[in-house]
Amino acid sequence: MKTFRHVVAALALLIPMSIFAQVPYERLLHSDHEPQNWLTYGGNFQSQRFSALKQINTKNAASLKTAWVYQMRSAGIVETSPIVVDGIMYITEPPSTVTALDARTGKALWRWTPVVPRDLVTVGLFPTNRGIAVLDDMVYVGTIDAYLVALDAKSGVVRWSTHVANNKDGYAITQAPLAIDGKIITGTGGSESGASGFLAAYDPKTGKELWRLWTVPRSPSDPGADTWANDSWVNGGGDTWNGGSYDPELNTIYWGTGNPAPDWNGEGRLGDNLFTCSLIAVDADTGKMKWYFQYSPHETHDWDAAEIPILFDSMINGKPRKLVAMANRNAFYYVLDRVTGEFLVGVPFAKQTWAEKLDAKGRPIKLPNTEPTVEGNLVYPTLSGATNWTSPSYSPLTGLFYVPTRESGAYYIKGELKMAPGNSVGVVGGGGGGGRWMGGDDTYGAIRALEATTGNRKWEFKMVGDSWTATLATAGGLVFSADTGGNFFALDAETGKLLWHTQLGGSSRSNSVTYAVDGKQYVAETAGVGLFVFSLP
Amino acid sequence: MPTCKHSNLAGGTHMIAIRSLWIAALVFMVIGFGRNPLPAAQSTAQESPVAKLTQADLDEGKQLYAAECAGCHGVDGSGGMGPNIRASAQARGDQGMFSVIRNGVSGMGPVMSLNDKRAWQVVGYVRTFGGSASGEAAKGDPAKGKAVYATNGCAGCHAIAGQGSGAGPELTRIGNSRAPKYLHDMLLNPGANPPVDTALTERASFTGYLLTNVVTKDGHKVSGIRVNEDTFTIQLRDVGGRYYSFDKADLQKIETEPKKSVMPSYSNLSATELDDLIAYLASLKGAQ
Repeated sequence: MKTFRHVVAALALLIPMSIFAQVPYERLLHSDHEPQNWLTYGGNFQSQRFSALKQINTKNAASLKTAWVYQMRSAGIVETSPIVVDGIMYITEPPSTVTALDARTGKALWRWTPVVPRDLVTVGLFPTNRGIAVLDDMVYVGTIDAYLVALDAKSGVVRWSTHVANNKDGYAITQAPLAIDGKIITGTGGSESGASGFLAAYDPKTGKELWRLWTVPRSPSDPGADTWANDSWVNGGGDTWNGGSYDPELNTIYWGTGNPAPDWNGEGRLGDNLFTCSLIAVDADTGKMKWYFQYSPHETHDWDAAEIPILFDSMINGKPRKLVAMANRNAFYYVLDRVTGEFLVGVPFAKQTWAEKLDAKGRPIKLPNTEPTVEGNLVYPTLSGATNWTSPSYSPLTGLFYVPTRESGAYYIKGELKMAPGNSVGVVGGGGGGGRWMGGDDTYGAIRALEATTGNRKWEFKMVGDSWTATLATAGGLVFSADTGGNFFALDAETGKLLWHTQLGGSSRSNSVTYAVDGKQYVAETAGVGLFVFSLP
Repeated sequence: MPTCKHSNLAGGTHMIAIRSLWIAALVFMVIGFGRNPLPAAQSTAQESPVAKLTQADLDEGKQLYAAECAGCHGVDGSGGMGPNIRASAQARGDQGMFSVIRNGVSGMGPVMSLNDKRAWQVVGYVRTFGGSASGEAAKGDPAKGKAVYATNGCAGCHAIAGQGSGAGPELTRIGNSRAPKYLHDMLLNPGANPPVDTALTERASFTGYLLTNVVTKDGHKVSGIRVNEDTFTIQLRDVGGRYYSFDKADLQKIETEPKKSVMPSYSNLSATELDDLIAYLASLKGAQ
C-alpha cells in the first residue's frame, strides 16, 4: 500500500486531478502492455479474458490465500465483473450501484447509487449489473431503468446521464458498456417484454447519441422484415443484453442478439426472425451492419445468442484467418471469419437433441418433435442453455477456448400467444410458455477446453451443479472458475487438472479477473454478495 | 459437525432402521425454510390479502408468475435456476412470500416489476400449485388414523407438534403441502417418486434423502442419507443421526440408490387403515 499511497499522493500534488488515472483510448487499445490492470470487461477488446500475469502459476497456485473480502452493501444477485485501473477496482452492486475500491485492501473509496423507481419492468432478467467501462477520466454504467450514466472516475460524481430507452417498454441495462475511441456502446435487455433490440453509441463527453442500430425490423421495409410472418416483428426481440467485442483494425463491433418474442411459441412469427439469435458485425463509425450470422433461425427455446464472442487469429486449413468464436447457448461451438462472416466450424460442445447437424453454411437442420408443447417436451440443452452470459476465455498460449458448460435438458412448454409490449402481463404472452428443468442429480456442470479452431474437446473438469461463472485464463498456465456450490478453483490450462480450490460459502455467478498492485498478483471472484480476492502468501 | 472420516465408521450399517424418512422429506421441503418462527401472516389474526383475490386476480397472477418467476422457478414452481417453491406458501406464509417478492432474499433481489397488488396476485397463484393439498378430500377417519400412526412406529422417524423423532422430516403441517394421493403413493412405494431436497434451499433441484454408500480409499464403508454435496465434498447422515464429512478425493467409491427409500412400504396396512392414516396426515395443518 505504501507505494500505492505514495504514488497517489505524488500524483495528487504534481498533476491536475482531472487527469489522474486517465485511461485514454490508447491504453484500452494496448491493454496487453499493462497486464497489471484489467481495463475492459473482457480483459481486452477481443474479449479473450486472458491475462499475461504469471506470478500465480501451476507451481504455486496451491498456496493461494485470501487477501481481502468485500461484502456488497446491497442485496440481490451479484454478477459484477471488476475493472482494475492503477490500483483502483471498480465494481457494480445490484441493481446499479458503482463502487470504487482500493484494489489492494478492498476498502471503499467512493460509491454511487442511482435513484431507481420502486416499480420497474424487469421481465426475464435480474435487477443486477455486470460491470462498468472506463475511458479517459470517466466511468460508464448502464442502469436497471435503462439510463447510461457517466461518473467522474475519481469521485463518482455524475457528469451526465442519458435516457437510453424506456423501462416502461421493458428496456433495462444490466451489461457493461463497451468504450472505444470516441464512443460508448451499449445494448439493452427486454426481449421478454416485447422490446425491440438495438445497439447504440454515445459521445463519451456529452452522452449524445451518435447512432442506433435496430436488431429487428421496425417497419415492413426494413431489412429482415420478410422473415417475420404477418409483420410479427412488432412484438420485438433480438435484445443486446450481454457484452460485445471490438476489432480496432477492422473498426468492427461484434455483438450477439437475443431471442425473438414471444419466446416459446413461434406460431405467430413464422420465418427466420432476423436478426435475432445472431452475431452482428457493426461498423463502429456509422452503426451500419456489415454482416450477420444467424445461429438459431426461428428460435423457440430461449437460446439467445448473446454469449460473448471471442476474437482471435489462427490458421484454418493452412490459411491465416481473422476469426470470431462463440460457444452458443444452443450447445454448438461456432467459428466464423470475422471479416466476412463466413461460417467455418460448428460442432456441439454439450449434449443437444434439437438439431441433426449444421449444414455447409452453418444453418441447423432441426430434428422433428423438438418444439415446446403444451404438456412439455424434453429437449437438450436446458432453457438457460449449454452455456450462458458468463464469459468463456481463450489462451493464445494453449490455443484452447475454455467454456463454462452445463449438461442438462428441460421440458419445454408452449404457452398462449399474447403480446403487449412493455406490459409484463403481456410478456407472459411474450414468453409464450416456459419450461421445467431437469433435477440436479440428472445434470452436471463442467469447464470444457475446446481446441479453438476445431471445437474438439481437449479436456473437461466436471462439477456438481450448474456452471454460472466465467473462465479466466492466465499465462501462469491456469484457468480459474467456480461452481454454484461456492467452490472457486484453479485448473491446469493444458490438462484440466485441479490445482487449488477454496470454499466461498455462496454461489458464484460472475466473471473472475486478475490484476496486480505493487507487483503482487491478485485473483478476484464473487460468491453470494461477497467479492473475494486471493494472492500468494 | 465432526469431520470424522474414520471414527465411528458404521461399516456395513444397514439402513433399515431409519424409517419414514421419505414421507417426511416432503415436509422438510416445506418446513425446512421455516425453521424460524413463521412470518407475520401466520402469527397475526389479520386476514391475508390472498383471501380477497378474485379469479381475475389469480389469472393475472398466473401471467405475472410466468413472466417474472418461471424463468428461475419453473412454470410449475418445481425449480431450475432457482429453488423449488411449490410449497413456499406453506413454508413462508402469505406475508412471507410477499416479503420475498418485494424485498428479496439471499440469492434473489426484490422483483421490481411486481408492485404490492401484483405481488399479492402472484402469492395467490403460487398457493394454487400442487405443492399444496387444496381441493382433494381424504376419505378415512383422522382419529383412527392417529392410532394407526402411533402403532406403526412412525414417530420413530417423524415428529408431529414436538413429539417424535427428528430423523425424518417433520409432519406437523404435512396436510398443507401434500395431497392424499401423494401420501397414499408414498406410503405404499416410498422410493418411487423421491422428493427434491428443499430442506436446504441451495439443494432444491437435487433429490432429497438420497441413500448413499461411500467407500474410503482405506476401505471403510459408510452408508447414509446425503445431506449435502458439492464438487469436492459430500456430507452424509447415518442411521444414528451422526454426520460424516468426506473429501471426495479420499473416497474410492460413491454409490447412490436413487429409487430406494429408507422408509419401508406400509403395504401391510389394510385399505381402511391406510385411508385413516392418510386422513390423519392430511388433517395435520399446524397451528394456524
